Amino acid sequence: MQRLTRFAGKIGTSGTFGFAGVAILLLTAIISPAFTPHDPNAIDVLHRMALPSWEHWFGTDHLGRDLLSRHMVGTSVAMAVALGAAFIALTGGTILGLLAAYMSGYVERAILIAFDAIASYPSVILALAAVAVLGSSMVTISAVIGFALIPHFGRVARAQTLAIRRVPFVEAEIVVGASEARILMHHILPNIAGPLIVLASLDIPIIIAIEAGMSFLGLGIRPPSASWGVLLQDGYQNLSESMSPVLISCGVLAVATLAFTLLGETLRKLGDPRAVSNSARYA
Amino acid sequence: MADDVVSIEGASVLFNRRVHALDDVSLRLKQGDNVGVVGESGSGKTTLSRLVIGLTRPTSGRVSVLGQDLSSSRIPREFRKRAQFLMQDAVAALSPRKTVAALLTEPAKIFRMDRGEFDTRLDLLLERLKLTPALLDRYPHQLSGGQARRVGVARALLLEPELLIADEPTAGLDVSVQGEMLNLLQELRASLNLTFMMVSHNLHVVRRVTNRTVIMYLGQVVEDAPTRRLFSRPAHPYTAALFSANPMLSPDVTSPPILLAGEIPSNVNVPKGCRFASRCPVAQPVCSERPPQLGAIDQEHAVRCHFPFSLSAQ
Repeated sequence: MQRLTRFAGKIGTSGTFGFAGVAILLLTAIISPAFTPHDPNAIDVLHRMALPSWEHWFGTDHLGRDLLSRHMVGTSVAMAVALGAAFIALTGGTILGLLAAYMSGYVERAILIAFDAIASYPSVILALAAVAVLGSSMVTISAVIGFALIPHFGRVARAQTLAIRRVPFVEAEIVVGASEARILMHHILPNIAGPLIVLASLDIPIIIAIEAGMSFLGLGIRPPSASWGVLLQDGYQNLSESMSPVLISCGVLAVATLAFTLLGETLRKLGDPRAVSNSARYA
Repeated sequence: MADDVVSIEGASVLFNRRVHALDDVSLRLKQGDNVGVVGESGSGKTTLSRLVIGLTRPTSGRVSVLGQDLSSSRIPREFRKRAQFLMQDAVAALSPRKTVAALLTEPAKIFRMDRGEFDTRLDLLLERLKLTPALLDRYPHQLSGGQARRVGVARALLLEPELLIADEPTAGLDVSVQGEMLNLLQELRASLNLTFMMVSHNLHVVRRVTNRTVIMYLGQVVEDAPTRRLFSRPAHPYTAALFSANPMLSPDVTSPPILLAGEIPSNVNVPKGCRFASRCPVAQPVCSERPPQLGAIDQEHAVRCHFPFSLSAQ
């Protein structure tokens, strides 16, 4: 506990919010299939459109379903899609970016043209087109969004690699006999990983928003599955009866994206040993 | 000669096809040589040391180090074990996200050395370099300049090289630590029987620790002689001017310093004749017409000048 408070002190209020927020989101995502306060699909028409109360913390929707439970289930969907897509974009982008930086000539040009081609489509449009062709499931949505974001990571990975390829410590490693693979894995990757991980946590809100947007338009996760976008759509359909479901869904989305953004910012500071130890040393 | 540790013949390095970093440089180091390379910024000292260690390839000419041809062929890993390099910026030469311990054990991993034997050697070196165990958990940016440099020395010597090149080994160190560093390098050089080449712009340092000195000007070797002889009687006017501008080298001499007019010419448009002609106080018409070659005055002393000794007291 003492160590936890010390850590919280080091990362500050916003860092604590980011870490705690993301931790709660992930925990919710993990437990919601097994436990929710109510059955998320149980219809109770007598208590439809109820405002938040002790019984229903987030209120109920137009069919009287408990909104807290439905948002909890939606969290699993959002987290699975977000983490899956971020993982695909991060690994794909890093590998291709490193490859582009290390292979000059045709390989580099082919990769860069592919990046430009993918990035020239807005990722939402690309995702919509792909879902129209491939059909919508959680796996296809993650894969498509992840694929659309590969150039984002690839460009950063390539630029970072090019920037440090000729710095003294890389040459020093050549002089002590380190192989190309060793230099890449042990000396270049750790030094470009920081910005990429930050980028990943800053992109997760974008992924969450794309997924919610697609579900809102009816092209993502299908009802009755409770994706945040579906919940927003349900609330929107009944906006004339009550504002509360829409406001709550928006609030959940806002808090989730903010938490990931603050987490990314904090990770950036922690990942840089210079930044950390300086504050630790002079604190 | 086959037994030369370093043998460079007429090597030139051109950057971007127009910057003459090195131009027709020839240099030989024998086993056990202790050589200092002196020159101002842009004279090609660092390029020369990078050439010897295989980080820069010659555009033309031949470079052979420890029997390994460095002109064109792939450099085998075994060569890396035998020739080591201390970079000018010691902190930047250490991978920033590795601890000192990880950096020091890396050579053993790369060459799959026997860990027991390696660790004994590491302990001995750490003690000799006065690197305390507390430093092992630190990251490079937490080290002082002197500590980073000693870590660099340890990393280089753990491979038990035969040749050690040091690029400005005292750059960025306090004067008090400079002396310590130089003594340490010389001690290690003598006890490990290293061939040692040190690049420096500090005449005092070169005079004190080396027994042979190479003077560079604008990408060329202009004079190469035993240190003692060179400092007592320089043959090249540039060397003479360099020494006379340094009052500490000859405190009892009251003659005014030889002041050079003008700037060092650019590496892009190199002069047609002697590189130094435009600034040389004793230049003759022929100097700006015909470039002098590096010629031997005797077995140990070579100079690139049409009129050697014309500026030094005979």
